[in-house]
Amino acid sequence: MHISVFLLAALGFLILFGSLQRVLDRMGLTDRQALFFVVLMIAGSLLPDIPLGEHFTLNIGGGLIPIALCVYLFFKAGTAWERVRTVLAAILGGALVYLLGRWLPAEPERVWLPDLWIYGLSAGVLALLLGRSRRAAFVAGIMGVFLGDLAQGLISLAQGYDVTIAIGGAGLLDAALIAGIVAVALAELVGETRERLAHAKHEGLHYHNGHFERREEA
Amino acid sequence: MKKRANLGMILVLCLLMAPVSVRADGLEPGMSGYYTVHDEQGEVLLRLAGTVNVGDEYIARDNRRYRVSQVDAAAQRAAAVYVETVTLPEVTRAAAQEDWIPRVALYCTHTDESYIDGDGSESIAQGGGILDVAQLLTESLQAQGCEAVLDETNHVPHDAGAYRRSRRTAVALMKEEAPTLLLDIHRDAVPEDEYLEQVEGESVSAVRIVIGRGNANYPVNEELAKTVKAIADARYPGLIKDIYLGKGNYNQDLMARSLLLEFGSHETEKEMAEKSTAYLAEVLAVTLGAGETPQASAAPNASVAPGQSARPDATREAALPPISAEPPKDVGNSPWKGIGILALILLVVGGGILLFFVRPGERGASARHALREMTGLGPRPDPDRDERG
Repeated sequence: MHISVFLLAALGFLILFGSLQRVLDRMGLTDRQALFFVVLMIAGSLLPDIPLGEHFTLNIGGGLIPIALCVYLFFKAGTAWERVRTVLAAILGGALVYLLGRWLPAEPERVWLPDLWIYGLSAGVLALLLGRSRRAAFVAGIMGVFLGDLAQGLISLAQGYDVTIAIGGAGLLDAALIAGIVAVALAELVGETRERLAHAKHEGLHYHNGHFERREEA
Repeated sequence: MKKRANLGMILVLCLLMAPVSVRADGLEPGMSGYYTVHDEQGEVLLRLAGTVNVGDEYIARDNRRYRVSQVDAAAQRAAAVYVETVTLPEVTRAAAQEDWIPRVALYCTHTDESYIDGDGSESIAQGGGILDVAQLLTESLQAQGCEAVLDETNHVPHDAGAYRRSRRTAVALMKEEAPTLLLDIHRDAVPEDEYLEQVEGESVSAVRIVIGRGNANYPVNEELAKTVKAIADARYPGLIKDIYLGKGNYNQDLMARSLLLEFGSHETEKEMAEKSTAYLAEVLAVTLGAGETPQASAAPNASVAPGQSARPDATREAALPPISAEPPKDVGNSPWKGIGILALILLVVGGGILLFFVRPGERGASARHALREMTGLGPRPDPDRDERG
């Protein structure tokens, strides 16, 4: 089994084990829905890319399914602000990826972070700025890479270069999928920590022995 | 107040989207600088475009291994210390493997890379001279009995996104061709003399093998590179100038047996880089255990017709040292090793926290609490999940 399939299968096990329950709750997904999408991604990545004209291709597992998931998350958003935040995350994420592509050095060894992590961490920071939204983090990571690549590809085509814009072309190994997962992880790590501390402060609690308890009880 | 702060942040981001000058390497007139690496005696070991990082390693032509210990980024100089003299895999006689046709997939991440002497420019965005070199290598590999495919997808611009775009090309090649070996063909950006070499009495460009240390396939790729060098040293000494083990990933995490090859620099005569391809193709074919073609052929620097061998003639062949046709062995790299290490780390860290930060009587309760948290069955601090998404 290829390492990428293994990683996504590991993600599936974590979902089954319930370890990602809170993250999925924050994103508005149930365990079953998340597992369903993971299975679709794995299966879709084994299928050939869908050609869309002369210069565009769409990978099913690495592109179509993640985009569908982002659209699903958009419609599942319960408030207008959450929907706005989701769209903003996608657009700003795309701008960020495009800018990072222009600003960062061309040689991977010049950047202190692994290049595949940069997009996810940037999307995670963006989501934190947008209110610690895990949904926005995922959308910023996934759609950010796709939109950034699309923007760059369109610019290259306009300049007359014969390029192919392969959305999610690396399937499960695509930078977009990695960015989405890393972004959510960062948003969850920072968000959960801050929320717990904020909750504790509000309730007059302090952290003792792995959980919050009232100071008079301790 | 919070929403105003968020909107303020978004405004800042929007301002960042204003047109800015790019600093993507390779698109501006004149190449960026290169690093010079010295040994402990101050002698120049190598010159390398890109960045040298502490911890990078280098196997020189004489198989001495060095590790970069100091880097002066401002002066673009680095110092390396001698580590050991590497023993390359033994080159032994083995029968040519019949019914075994290795598959080689090639692509060029920096498709714009070109040769000033030959292409007229160091960078041609529409498709650089490096594609011609890659094409010749492909044809030479086919002539050596390999199935070789070159994907000429253009990955411009030559910026930080190029490896992200070429990753998709590499994965497509892996899916369609199931290659034995995946090659990313580049050219360097250092002074010409770094790559000048004489092979079989003619001037060619030496080849540098670059391995990324930032991925799990690094040990396998390093062994493969050493095997390639061993066979090249036996057959065409000097063809493989060195092996550089750098910090980057270079998409070598995608599969084991993936290498990045540098064919000369932007100052190298393109013809010299092209001449190297036939020699390297033979070395790679032997490394992969390709069956030897029956016909003796023209000299390696002649253009090779499809189906015709590019090997030296039979009388010269007999005088050459015996060569290995064994495919490179995997070094036992697998994801289970990483999982085992991760589990061990979790156990040690978790156990350490329990031992040193939790009172003896409460360790059981804390461990149970942690497990409940992991499985998501513990109490959640904020039921209003939609507000935070």
